[in-house]
Amino acid sequence: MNDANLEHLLRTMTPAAPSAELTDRVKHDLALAAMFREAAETATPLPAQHRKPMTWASAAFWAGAGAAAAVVVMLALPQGAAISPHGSTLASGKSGNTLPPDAIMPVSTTREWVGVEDQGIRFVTPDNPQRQMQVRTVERYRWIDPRDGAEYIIETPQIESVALPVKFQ
Amino acid sequence: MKADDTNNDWQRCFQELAPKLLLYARQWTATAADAEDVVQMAFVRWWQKNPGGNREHIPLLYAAVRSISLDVRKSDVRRAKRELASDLSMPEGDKPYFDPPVEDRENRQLLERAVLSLPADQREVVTLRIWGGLTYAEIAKATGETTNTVASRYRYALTNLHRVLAPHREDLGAAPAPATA
Repeated sequence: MNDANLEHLLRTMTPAAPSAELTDRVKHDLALAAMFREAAETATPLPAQHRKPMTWASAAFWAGAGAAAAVVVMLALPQGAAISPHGSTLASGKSGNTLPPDAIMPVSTTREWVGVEDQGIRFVTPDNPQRQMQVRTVERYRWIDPRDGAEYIIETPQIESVALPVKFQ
Repeated sequence: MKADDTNNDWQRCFQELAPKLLLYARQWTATAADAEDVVQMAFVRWWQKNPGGNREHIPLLYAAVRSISLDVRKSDVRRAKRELASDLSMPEGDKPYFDPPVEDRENRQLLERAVLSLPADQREVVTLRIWGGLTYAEIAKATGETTNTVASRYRYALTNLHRVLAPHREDLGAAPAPATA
């Protein structure tokens, strides 16, 4: 068997085909990218004063203003956006091609469990024991500005105390 | 109409390239599902930069698959450590690298095992050359190596395959290669 025979034998093996789901996922991603591109092309350009170089003092001011604006946007997020534990992402963005070009778009909201601390059993009353748990999570909000493709992510660490009723057999 | 054409273009291109890209991605990823994730990311990025699917840029697509696969492998190692620590583990068994053969099942498995036994750098070149259909220069572009290095790796790979398959020469039948023009 020479090299040509060996190459011929190898070429007779067909690489496994991808799943149908993969094609759907690529189709979805390309459609989303096209939608963003279209929205960005039709949006009006940002005013010139937003692009002026800033001194450190004005930079500090705008950083503070940006943080305040982010909090306002976060509070204004639609409450219907689903949040699931264990870090799964549920899209809460708008569907269809009718994007308002002058607004940033919420893309996703996730909540990731960082850790759980068992703080032991406490008796609120002598006949009412409760297991105290401290749950640490991080909420992550993501937006995209279709005008320039900028992505904004805000992470808010949270600590929740949970009391679970306990029954002793 | 134009959107339909573009839609057909990427689908045609994807149908042609996806099996080859998947095979290439599986050189590094732990599972077929990970390889599909890699191919999805690489193809979407590539198509956005090359909306017509220019064939001259296919080596860049393989380079993207390589780069993303290596990133995924790094995170796989971290994830495996986490899962080991928390008693979570991936299910055993995965999809085969090649389509199930209708005939000559044993010979195909023999060839697959021989290819998988190659050192990683030689297997990469064989994959890109045999199933990717790339030239030495294109492989060099995709892997960041020189053309001479790529060519010598390919030669070593063929030598190794001959050595591994030598005991099975009779079984394989040494089918004649098609005449080239």
